[in-house]
Amino acid sequence: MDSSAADLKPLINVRNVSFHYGSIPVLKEVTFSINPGDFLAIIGPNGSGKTTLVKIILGLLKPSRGEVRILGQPVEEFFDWNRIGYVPQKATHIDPLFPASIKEVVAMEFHAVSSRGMRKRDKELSVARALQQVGMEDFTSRRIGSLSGGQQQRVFIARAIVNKPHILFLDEPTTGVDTETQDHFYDMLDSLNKKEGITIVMITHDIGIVNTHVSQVACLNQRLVYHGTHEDFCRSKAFKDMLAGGHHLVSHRH
Amino acid sequence: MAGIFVAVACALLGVFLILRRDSMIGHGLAHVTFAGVALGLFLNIIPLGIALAVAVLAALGIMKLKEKAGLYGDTAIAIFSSVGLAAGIVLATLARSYNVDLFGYLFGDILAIETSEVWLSVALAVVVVFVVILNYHRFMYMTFDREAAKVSGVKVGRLEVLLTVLTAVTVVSPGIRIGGHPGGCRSSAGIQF
Repeated sequence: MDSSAADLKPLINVRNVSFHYGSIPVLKEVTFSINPGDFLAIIGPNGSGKTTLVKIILGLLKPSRGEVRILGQPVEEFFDWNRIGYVPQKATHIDPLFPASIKEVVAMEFHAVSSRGMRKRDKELSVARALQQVGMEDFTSRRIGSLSGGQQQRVFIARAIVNKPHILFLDEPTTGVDTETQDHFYDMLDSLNKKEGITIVMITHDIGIVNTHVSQVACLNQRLVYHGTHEDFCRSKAFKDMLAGGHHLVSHRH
Repeated sequence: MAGIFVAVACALLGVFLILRRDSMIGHGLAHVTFAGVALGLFLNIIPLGIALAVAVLAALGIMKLKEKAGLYGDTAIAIFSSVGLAAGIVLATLARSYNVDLFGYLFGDILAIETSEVWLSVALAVVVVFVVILNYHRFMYMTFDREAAKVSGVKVGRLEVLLTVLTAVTVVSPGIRIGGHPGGCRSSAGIQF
C-alpha cells in the first residue's frame, strides 16, 4: 500500500444518510467516517440497514438524503474503483456449474475499466499472489463451483484484494462457513489489515469477532446507535441494550 | 449460409443469456415480434422495422421489469411473451384477413430468405462477434457477480442494454425469417437460445 496525502484523511465520509424502501424507512440520519487502517465491524439486528448502508457507500443505492464521500470525492463522481474491494453477501450463492476456474474468477477484477493497460504477466502474478494470501494457491485451475462455501469466500476475497485496494468491504463473509474455517478466515482478515494495511469494513452478526479482531464498531439499528472502539462498545449502553433487547445479536454461525 | 451466420450470433449471445438465466428470452421476444409484424402489416408499414422497434422496446422492458420489480428473468419474459402473442392475435383478427406474410413470419422459412437478408445475417454476426470479443470478460464478470462488477467500475447498466439490444436485433432481423415464431416448431436454424 502506498501512503499518500489521501491516507491522512478519512477514506469514507458518511453524512446524514437516510434511506427508504418505498415508504419503509431503513436508515435515518447516519453519520460516521472510516479512517485508514480501521478494522470496522458493522453490527445490528436483522433489518437494521447494515447491507443497505454498505450499498449506499459503494454507490449501488442512492440515499434518500445525505451524502457519501470516498477519498474526498462524492461517490457519484468517484471513478478509481480499483481502490475498493467488495465481497457481496450472496457471494456463496453462485451457480455451481458456472464455467470459470478460480484464477479466472480472481482475474475478473482486472477487466473493469480502471485496470486496462496492465500487462498480462503482471496480472497473472497479481492473481497468484492474491490466491497465496488467502491460502488458495493450490486450487487455481479448479472450477469455482466445485469448492466449499468457505473456500469460495476465500476466492472472492482474493478477487477483492487482487488490485491492492485501500479498503475492503465484506458483507457477512462467514455465512455458511464452519467454525474452524471462520477462525482461519478472521486470522486472514487480521493479517490483511495489519500486514497489508488494508482497511476492512465487515458486516457481521458474530459478536464474538468484536472482542477478538476488530478495532472499531458501528452499531446500527436504522440510526447509528454507537460508533467507536470495540473496548468502549463492550462497556457501552448500546451493547447492553442490544443484548437485553434480544436483537439476535448473538454468535451467528450457520 | 444465412443460417450459419445467425447460428454464430445466437451461440455467442446464448452463452451469456443462459448463464444469466434468461434462456427463454429468444422465445419471449419472438412472441413480441409477432405482435410487431402484425402491427406492421395492419398499418401497411414495413413489418421488419416495426417488429425490430417493438422487440427492442420489449427487451429493454423485460430488463427494467427484472431490475425494478425484482422478478426472475423468466417471469418477466413470460409477461411480455403472453402480452405480445395476445396483441398479435388481436391485431391479426382486427385485420380480418390473415395475410400470408404473417404466416411466413409466424412459422419461418429458411428457403424464402432473400439475398439482402443473407447479407444482413452476415453483418449481424460480424457485429455480435466483434462486440462479444471486445466485452467478453466484462460480460462474464457481470454475469457471474453483478454487484461486484459494478463496484469494480464495470458499466453494468450499459453492457446489459447492449446485450439486450443485440439479442432483440438477432431475434428479429434475419432470425425471424429463419426460425420464425418458435411455437411454430418448424425452425430450421432455431432462434431459441
